[in-house]
Amino acid sequence: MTTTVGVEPKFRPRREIVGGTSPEYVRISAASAMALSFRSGRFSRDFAFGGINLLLNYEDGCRSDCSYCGLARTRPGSYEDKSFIRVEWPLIETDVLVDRMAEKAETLTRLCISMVTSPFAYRDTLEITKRIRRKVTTPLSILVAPPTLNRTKLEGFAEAGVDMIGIGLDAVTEELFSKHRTDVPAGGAGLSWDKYWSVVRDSREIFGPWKVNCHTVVGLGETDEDLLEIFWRLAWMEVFAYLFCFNPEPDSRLGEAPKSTIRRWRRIQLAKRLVEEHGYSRGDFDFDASGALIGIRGARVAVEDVVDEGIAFMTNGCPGESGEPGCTRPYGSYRPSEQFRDFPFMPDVVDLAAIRGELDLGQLITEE
Amino acid sequence: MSLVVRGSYGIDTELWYPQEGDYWLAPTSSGYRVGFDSLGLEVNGTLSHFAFVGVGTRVNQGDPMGTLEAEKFVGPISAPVSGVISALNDEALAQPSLLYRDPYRTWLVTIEEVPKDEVSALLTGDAAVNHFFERVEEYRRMGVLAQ
Repeated sequence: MTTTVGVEPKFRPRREIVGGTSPEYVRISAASAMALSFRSGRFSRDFAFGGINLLLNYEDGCRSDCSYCGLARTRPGSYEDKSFIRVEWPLIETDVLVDRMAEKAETLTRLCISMVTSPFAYRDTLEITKRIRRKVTTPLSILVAPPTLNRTKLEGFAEAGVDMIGIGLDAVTEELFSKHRTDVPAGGAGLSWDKYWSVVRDSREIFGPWKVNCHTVVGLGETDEDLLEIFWRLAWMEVFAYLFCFNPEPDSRLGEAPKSTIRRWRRIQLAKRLVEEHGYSRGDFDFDASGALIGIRGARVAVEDVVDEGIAFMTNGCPGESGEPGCTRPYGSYRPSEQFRDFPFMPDVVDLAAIRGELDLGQLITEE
Repeated sequence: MSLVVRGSYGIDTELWYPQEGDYWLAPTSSGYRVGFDSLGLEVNGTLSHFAFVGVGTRVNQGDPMGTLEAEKFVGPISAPVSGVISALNDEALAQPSLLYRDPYRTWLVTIEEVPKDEVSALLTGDAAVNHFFERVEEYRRMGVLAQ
């Protein structure tokens, strides 16, 4: 087919929703809006989707200014107009949203409220949590904004019925964290490496093993070795590492930065699975002088079994009530016309064939 | 333009409609302009990107003549009739939001040399209206339309 036009997506406001700020109003992801029938639309592939993501809404937006984020303070445009992970987040009245979630509760697998850095974020997140909990029993996570929190406030979330806490560490070394989140044009708004880890530790103690997760982004300048180091550190703490693929937000400071190659991304997905589920340690991987993964030491058949299992390439997200994938963020870090970076469902045989090609394991596995 | 509107969806009864797909056709001096009807703009989510076969390409009814991409969807655009693609609306292709402002006037492509039997099978008037609102109900059952 001869393609004649190729332009970057430009999303228009679908519907004027007159609204206000949290806690009376909240934003929801485009996929959530479709799942809850606030928006028309469908997914390219047919799969069940019940992971609902909420985002606090304030007139002055998020006080942080992270280089890669669509909500960054110095990104051009008003908060109302800003996309987040490249799509619109429609604004919905909280009580209307809760009623709709109650109506569709059987289809929901996991709820998550994303805080933003705002002095009102804790108060409002707690209020929204309580409103949800009065009518909906679906497991509920909070993706927290550490600068707004302390141990007592985290305990408040637990008491209100939150079962999992997510911490958007994103940058996996202290140096990168400072560069992208602390030493930034609009000021760091209290974002610091130490504060984030303090909230990870407090959350782990309050919520328990495997009830806390850290978001880790591939593509912010880290090495493969940096990523594996963080996977080991978090696994040792019994904290999940959730993997995200950097996807440039237009007009953000990293708007023109490249995504990781698909080969690097796939290899990191595989290595993470080998670390977390198969006990691979530092001695099982080889890195070159720049920190790039150049070897996996192990039986080829065992590594290929992990590939064929497919789970390594699925979205990392909080589980549903019975441990099934709960938050799957379809098309969260790639356009629908691109390869799935993480699959919101189990990859099928065709997907796995493509994944094997993308991994290009070849000489990467060094049998011992 | 003469719109029949029920609920959130409307159809222009002065245009012609294929029995398959969410398109309208309007005759020109040499062929037919083709655009998305209001359902075509709704069921896939917010459309963001199009690509079409080049001008001069012959297409068969039902075969892909392009692709569309929305926030969470990518899929083919099927030819509503057979013929030769004779023009593309570059302005609409570069700025998909134009489609939403005036869906029944904003065309995408022009097709010429359309077989007469396919033209005579196009729906107009009441038949088109009934078919359109049957499709609204079908999409509702599929769960792809907002409540």
